[in-house]
Amino acid sequence: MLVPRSIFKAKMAVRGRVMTERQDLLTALHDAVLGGDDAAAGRLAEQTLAGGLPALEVIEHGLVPGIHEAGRRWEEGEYFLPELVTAAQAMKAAMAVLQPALADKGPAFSLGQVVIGTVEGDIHDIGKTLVATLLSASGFAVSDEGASVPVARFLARARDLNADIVCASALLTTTMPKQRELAAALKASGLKARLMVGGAPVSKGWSDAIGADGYADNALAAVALARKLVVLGATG
Amino acid sequence: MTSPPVVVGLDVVPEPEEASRYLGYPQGRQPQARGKHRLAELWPQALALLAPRGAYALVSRSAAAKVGMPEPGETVAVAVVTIGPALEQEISRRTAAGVLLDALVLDAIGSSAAEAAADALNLELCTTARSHGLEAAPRVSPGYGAWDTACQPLLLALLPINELGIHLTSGAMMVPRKSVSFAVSFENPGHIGPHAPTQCERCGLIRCRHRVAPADCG
Repeated sequence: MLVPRSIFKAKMAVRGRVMTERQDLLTALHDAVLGGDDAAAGRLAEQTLAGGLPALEVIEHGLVPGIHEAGRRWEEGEYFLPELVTAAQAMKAAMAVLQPALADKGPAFSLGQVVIGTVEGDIHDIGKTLVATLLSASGFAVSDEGASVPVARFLARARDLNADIVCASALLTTTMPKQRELAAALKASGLKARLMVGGAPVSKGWSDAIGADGYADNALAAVALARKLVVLGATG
Repeated sequence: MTSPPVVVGLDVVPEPEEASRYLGYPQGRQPQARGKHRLAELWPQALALLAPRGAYALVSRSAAAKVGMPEPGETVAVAVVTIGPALEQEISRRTAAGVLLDALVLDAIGSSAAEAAADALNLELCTTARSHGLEAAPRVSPGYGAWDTACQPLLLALLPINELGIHLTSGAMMVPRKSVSFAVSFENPGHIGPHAPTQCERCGLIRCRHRVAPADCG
């Protein structure tokens, strides 16, 4: 049966308008992440779901490009820590809205389970929290154990959560030996978790020397490394 | 010339530009609108939470060498300053609440205040040196250059840290975190020279985002 030209045109116009509205929402979400507007990001995520957009599509075409652009600007020296932090928090706010919709479609969406903390004797907190926030915003399930975390607690949490990655931060040369202790204990435990280390005095040389699986010198590099370790199984 | 420890109150005037630098912004760059707004709004709150104090003692060259100070002068002023615990408690509270931007901004203000407290006591020590006909060399701290951070407990044993409310973690980290320990050599006039290296020029932390002098990677 032939559809009259006028009806066909009207249908195409509606479809075009819907597509434009979808694209506008995704662009707005991208911009909310880039601008670090967590309230707008949460509200827009709700609108996308109400508009029938699949959560995964919203993440892939709205949130991820937004956080990637924030990362690119940070690497280019256009963005600094405050902009990066607020972008990650905006992404987290949107993810909090979208996660339940993903869970409805199947097992909880997660790139992998991370246990993160600052090593015992070291009470620096903010850098580690930033890494945790970016990992979480990037789709990892993150258990932040806080600062001055004993080796035994890292192991216990990795075992309890069947963690893929343990991240240990040390900000002083005097606390770095705890990373070595953790690396040895993790190897001896037989757990599957890979160890990532970071912190101002930490280097790739140190990471290699203690037998860690990878080292990152900033929060974005930590996310890239975590992806590499979990998805590719490679050592960084 | 030696003297027993003296505890002093300090007038601290942190600079907003310094706080911006601790947030990672290079000189001349300002935070974007939201960060700028938070910095302006949190500034007076942070200042109200500061309780800057310090202590110093004058010790001999051998005493300074025993605590690991590299190349100590004939007389050395050993010192510590802190901004007190209140601001850090607020930072922890906001971090735990997930208000990371506020925590970052307050942390940066705290760092600039601790550095300003060290500058204030340093200036007092320069005046003390001059009153004895000597010159104060640039200050050095454990963890920078050749001074091992592991020496921190030895250095602080020379100072009344309990009175200042400072203690050390098992990793030799000072609590409150926004505390600075350092030492200043008193030298004979002309010994130091006009081009004494700055803290950054002496420091081995090449990747430090707070570096204000080029790193000598040779």
